[in-house]
Amino acid sequence: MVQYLYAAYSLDPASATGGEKEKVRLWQQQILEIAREEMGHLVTVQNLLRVVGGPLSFGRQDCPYQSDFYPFPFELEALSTTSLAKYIVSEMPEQTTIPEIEEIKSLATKGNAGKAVNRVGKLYEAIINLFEKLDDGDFQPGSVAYQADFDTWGRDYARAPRGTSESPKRNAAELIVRPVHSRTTALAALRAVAEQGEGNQENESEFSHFQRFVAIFRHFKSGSVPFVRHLARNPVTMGVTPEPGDEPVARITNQRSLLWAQLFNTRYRLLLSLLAHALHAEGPITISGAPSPRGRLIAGAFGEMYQLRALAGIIVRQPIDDSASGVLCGPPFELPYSLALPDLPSGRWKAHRDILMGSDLIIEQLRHYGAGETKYLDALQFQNKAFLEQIAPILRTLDLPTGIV
Amino acid sequence: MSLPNLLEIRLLPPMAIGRLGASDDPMDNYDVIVPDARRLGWREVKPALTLHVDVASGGISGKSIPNKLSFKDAKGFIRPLSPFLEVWVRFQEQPELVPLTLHHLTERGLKPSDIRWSVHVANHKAFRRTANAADKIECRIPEITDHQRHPLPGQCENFIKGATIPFGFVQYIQPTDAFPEIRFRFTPASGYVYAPEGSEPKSFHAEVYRKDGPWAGWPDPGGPLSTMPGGIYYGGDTGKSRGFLDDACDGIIDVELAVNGTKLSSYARVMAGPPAFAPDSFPIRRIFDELEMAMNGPQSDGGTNQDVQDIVRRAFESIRLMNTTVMNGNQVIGHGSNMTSQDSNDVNRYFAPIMAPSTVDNLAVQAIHEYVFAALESEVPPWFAQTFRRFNEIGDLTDTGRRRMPAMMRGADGRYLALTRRQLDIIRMASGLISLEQPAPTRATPPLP
Repeated sequence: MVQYLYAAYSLDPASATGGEKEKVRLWQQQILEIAREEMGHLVTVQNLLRVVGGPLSFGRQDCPYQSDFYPFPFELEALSTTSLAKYIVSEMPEQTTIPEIEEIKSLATKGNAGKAVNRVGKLYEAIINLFEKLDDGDFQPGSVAYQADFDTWGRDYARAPRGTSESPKRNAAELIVRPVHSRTTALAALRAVAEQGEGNQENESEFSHFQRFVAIFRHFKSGSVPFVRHLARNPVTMGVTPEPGDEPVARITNQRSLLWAQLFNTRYRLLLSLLAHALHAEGPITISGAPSPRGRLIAGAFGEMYQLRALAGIIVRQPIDDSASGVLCGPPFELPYSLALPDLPSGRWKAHRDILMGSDLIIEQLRHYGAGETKYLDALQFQNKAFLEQIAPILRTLDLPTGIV
Repeated sequence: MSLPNLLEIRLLPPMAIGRLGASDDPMDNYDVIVPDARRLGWREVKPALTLHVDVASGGISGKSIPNKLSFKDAKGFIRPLSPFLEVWVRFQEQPELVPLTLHHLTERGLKPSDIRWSVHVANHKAFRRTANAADKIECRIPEITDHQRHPLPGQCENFIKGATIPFGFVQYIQPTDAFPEIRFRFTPASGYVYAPEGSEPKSFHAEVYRKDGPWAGWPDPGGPLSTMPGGIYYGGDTGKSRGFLDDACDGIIDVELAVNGTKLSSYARVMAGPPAFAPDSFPIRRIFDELEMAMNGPQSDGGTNQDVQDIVRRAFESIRLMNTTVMNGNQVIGHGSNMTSQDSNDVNRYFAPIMAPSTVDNLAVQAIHEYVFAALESEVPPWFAQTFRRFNEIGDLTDTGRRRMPAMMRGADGRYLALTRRQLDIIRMASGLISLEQPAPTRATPPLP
C-alpha cells in the first residue's frame, strides 16, 4: 500500500502537457484508489485475525529489509515500467492471457535483482487453505462486535458496500471492510480481497488492481514519461546500514526537506497509533448517544490520512540534498521504533498526545528555517491544539469505569 | 454648459435582506471576516461604518464605527437589521453607475420630493398552503415623497375587522449636503407571533385572524400541489394548522424620477429574515449560492482550493451549531426531529441512524472537516468530490445515499440537502476532474483480453 502511494505521488499531472494531463491525473487517481482499497484489505485482515483470536497487526517490512512473505523487497520508488511490472506480477492471477505478460515478468524480475516476484495470490491461497482446515471452534462469532465494519470505516470512501446496488458512475474506490464471524464469512472476505487484487474477469463495475496496473503499464510503455517526478529511491531520514543485497537508500540531507520528512513520519506514526487504538476500542457501544472518544480516534485516523496526502504533496517538491542533482525527496513512510500500543487506556491517549507535541516541535523548526507553507503549518498546529484540548479531559476521566477507551 | 443626460437609474442593492427585531435602535453595520492568523478559528464580527438616522427629521445625523457590537439593546430587545437602498444613476457618455445625489437633482432644477417611492410587501405563508386569496396579507403604499417614517400594516380579508400585522416601516431618507445620496430604508417588524381570535395559550402578540378562517384548522392535504415540506407550522404535529402567523414579509420597492418629461424607474426586493443568532457562522448553502447559480448557471468559471475551503469552512461552521448525535438518529432521548425520523415519517423507511453512531460525536465530526480544510491549505487538490450528494439524489434513501455530504441536513423541499450544481462544479474544477459523471477511472481503461 505504501509503495503504491509513493508511486502515485511521483506523478505530476501539472507538468504533463495537453491531453496527457488528464491521463496522468487519472493514473494517479487510480493508483491512489488501489492504495485506498488496500487499506480496506488491511482492516478486513484485522477482522480475520480477531475472529480466530489473534492479535491485531500493523507491522510491515521496513525499508530496505527483505522477507519471503512479501512479493518483492519493500522499496519506495517513482512509477516506471519496471515498478509497474513488479506491481502487476505481484497482483496477477495464476492464469492470465495478456499478451505481454512474459515481457512484464522479465522486467519485474530484472527490477527485483534477478529474483522472480511472488504473487500475492499465493499468499491468499495459503491463508484460505489454512482457514479451511481450522476447527469450527476456532472461529469466535462474538468477536464481530469488536471488529471494524463498513458503516464505521467505509464512510465517504466507497461507491457502496459490495453487494448493494448503486450507480457505478461515481469515481470512487470500492472498499472491502467486512466483519467475519464464521469460516464461510472469513473465506468469502478473503476471496473478495484476493479478487479485488488479482481478478481476471471484467467486472461490471470495477477492474482488479492487476488489470488497472496493466492498463497504466501499456500507456507508460507507449511513450515518454516526463510527468514522473525525479524522486529519490527509498528516502530515509536516518543513517542505516543496509543488509547485503538490499536496495540502497537515499538519505535526506537538505535541512528543510529533512524536517518535512520528519514531520511526515511523525504524522504517519500518529495515523498508525490512532488506527490501532481505534480498532482496539471497537466493541458494543453501551451509550450510543454519548460523545465517543472512539469517534474522535476514527476521525483522527482519517484526518491523518489527509495530512499525509498534503505533506506528500509538499515533500515531492523538496530537494533531497543541497547538490544540484535535481533529485527530489519523497515521503519516507518510515516506521516508528515501536508499533506496540500501551496496555493501559491512559497510556494510549498519552502516546497520541506525545506525538502531537513532537509534531509541534518539528513545525516550529520548520518555521525557524523559513520552510514556507505557513498557512498549512498554521492549520496543522490549530488542529494539534484542538486535539490536545480534547485529549486532556479524556485523560482526566479515564479512571471512571464507564469510559469507552 | 449643458448637463449630461440621466440615462437610467438603479435601486441598489437589487435585493436587501433585513432581519426582524423589536428594538427601536437598528443594528449597527458590521463585517464578518476570517482572520488570517486563525483561518480555522471562528469568524470575527467587526464593527463597520454605520449611518445614524434621525427618525424625526428623516435625515442622517452622523456616521461612526461603533467601538463594540451588541445585537440587543439595553432593554434586551433584538436590534433589527434595517437595510438602506440607494438610487444610482448612469449619465450619458459615462458608462459607470454613480450614486444619485442632492447636487445632481438641484443642478437640474429637481427636488428630493420629485423622487417617488412605492412599496408593496406581503406575507403569503398561509395563502401558500390554503391557496385562498383571502389569506394573503398585503401592504401597499402607493406613493412616498416625504421623509416621514411610514408604517407597513399588513392587511388580510380573513383578519378580524380592523386588525393588521405590522410589517415594520419604511423611510425615505432626507438627503442633505453632508449626506447627499438618495436613500430609502426598510426596517422589518418586531418578530412577533399572531394568532386567531380565542387562541390558547396566550403566548402570542395579538389576535388578528378570524377563528373561522381557512388557515385556522388547515390540514396540509399532501399530494403534488401542496407546498413542501408539509406541516412546518404551529399545529403541524397534529396535522392541522392552529392559524398562527408571523410578521415576516417580502416585497418590492419601486422608485421613479421624471427628468425632462422622461420617467426613469427602478425597483429592488426587500425581505425580512429571522435575527442572526450565529452571526459568525454561515450555512453551507446560502441564498447567495442560489442567486449565483440562477444568474451564472450551473457551470462555474473555475474553482480553486480557496473556493472549496470556503464551502468546507461553512460545513464545519454548520456542524458547530448542530447536535450531530441527535441529528444522526442516535438513541438519545426519543428520536428528535431529524432526517432519520423524516425518512420514517415520509416514506416508512425503517428507523435507523444515518452514520455509524460511534462516529458522530460532534467534536469528531468537526475535526474531520477541519482536517480537510487544513490539508487543502497545502494546495493539494480536493479529493472528495465524489462524496457529495447531487441535486437529483436527495431522495436516495439507501445507506450510501443517506451518507452523502452534506449529511443529516434537510433541504427546502423536505428531503436531504444537496449543494447547488454550481457549488459542486466549483469543487469539480478545483479537483481537476473533467466531469463528476464520467465513468470511473477503473472503467476508463481499455478492456483487457
